[in-house]
Amino acid sequence: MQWAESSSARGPVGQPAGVIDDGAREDFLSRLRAGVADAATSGGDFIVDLAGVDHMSAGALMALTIARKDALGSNVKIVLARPGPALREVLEISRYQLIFDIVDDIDMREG
Amino acid sequence: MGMLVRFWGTRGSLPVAPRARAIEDKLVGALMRASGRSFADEGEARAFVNDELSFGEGHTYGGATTCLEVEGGDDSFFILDMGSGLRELGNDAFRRVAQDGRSRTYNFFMSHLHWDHIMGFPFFGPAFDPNAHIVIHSGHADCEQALRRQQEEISFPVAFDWLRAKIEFKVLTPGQTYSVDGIEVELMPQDHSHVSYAWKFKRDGRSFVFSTDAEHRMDDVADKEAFEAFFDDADLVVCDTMYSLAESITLKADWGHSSNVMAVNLCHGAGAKRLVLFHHEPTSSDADIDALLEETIRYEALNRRDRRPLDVICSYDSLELEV
Repeated sequence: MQWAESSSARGPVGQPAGVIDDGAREDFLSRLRAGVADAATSGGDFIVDLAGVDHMSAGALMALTIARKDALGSNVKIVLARPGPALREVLEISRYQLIFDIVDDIDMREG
Repeated sequence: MGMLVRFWGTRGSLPVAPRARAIEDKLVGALMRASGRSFADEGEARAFVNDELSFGEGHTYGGATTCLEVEGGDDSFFILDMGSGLRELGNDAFRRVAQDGRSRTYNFFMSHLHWDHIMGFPFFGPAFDPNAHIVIHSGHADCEQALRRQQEEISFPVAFDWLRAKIEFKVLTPGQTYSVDGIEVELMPQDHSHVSYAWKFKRDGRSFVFSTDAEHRMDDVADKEAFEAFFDDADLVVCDTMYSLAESITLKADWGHSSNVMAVNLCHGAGAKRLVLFHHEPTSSDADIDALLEETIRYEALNRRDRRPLDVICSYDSLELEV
């Protein structure tokens, strides 16, 4: 998994890319937690830009779930942005659209 | 020779039955789909129902609560749980004893003692047969107490002590392998209120796992590893798929059940060959369960990558599967 960061009008943006497999779970989770902490400090949402993600394993879904718990405690909303068609299917089969905002675009600006 | 698994009850929590409008909707849907076609005989009509309608459009997944049967032991009956599906199994057992000369020994294996998993026992006809021998295997030391209590006067008119069969309780220990009338049996504790147990049955190199009423928490790595080991290379795994993943971690967290996504993940990790979706949500319509199956098959394909393909099947009352 690769990871980059930027920002948007809604708040900080994390940009994972490639395959997020079970082996990358802890790294993914720690980056999500850091993003949630940033958003809590700045008072915005935390955007996870999924456009570059080819596959997300069960472990990665788990990391999103754990980060969501942290985010709720910090009054931060995690927004899942721009998932590809296959990843969107996985998220919808999991009914993640009921517990996360899933959006098709983000308002990016220079980080 | 392997085993045959027969499903007598597949619904979770509470027995359900289709209301009049649900049947009307199925008939209207089928007639609309036929669109004025005529059928030469009953065979053609059945072929239309079976080949051109979805399972839920042409049938029903059923509404009896948990009860399965495993055939392949020496001659005794193997019965998993005592949900409301047990009543019909009991009636059919009388037929098989009379017609086929089957043994009147009934080996039960209990996942746990909640209402929906024991409510069929007071209606199990062979319990009134003085020549029947009922052996109830459980991981719970209080199994007898649970069965006696549901037949106390405040709950039921026929007392447990009025049953005529010889009834024996055996408490089994997780981690040990037992041989019961020709089948190897193991059990494993699961996360559920008052604990539940998964059961594994092995015969002639084939294995079948029955894992219902189990909550698999996404952040519990030890649970994942333990279940992947228990499901390892299984030929058939029946899993609790009552909720969506999102439900199981939010509104219905700690309710003791799991999701289709977690079931696929565990079976993929274990290299299991076939997954059976089970313990259907009582509020789910047949169309909802059709959709559950379709989505689970799709999720399996999306999540598979370089793993062995996992065949996904949806259980219904009267389904039979060879193992």
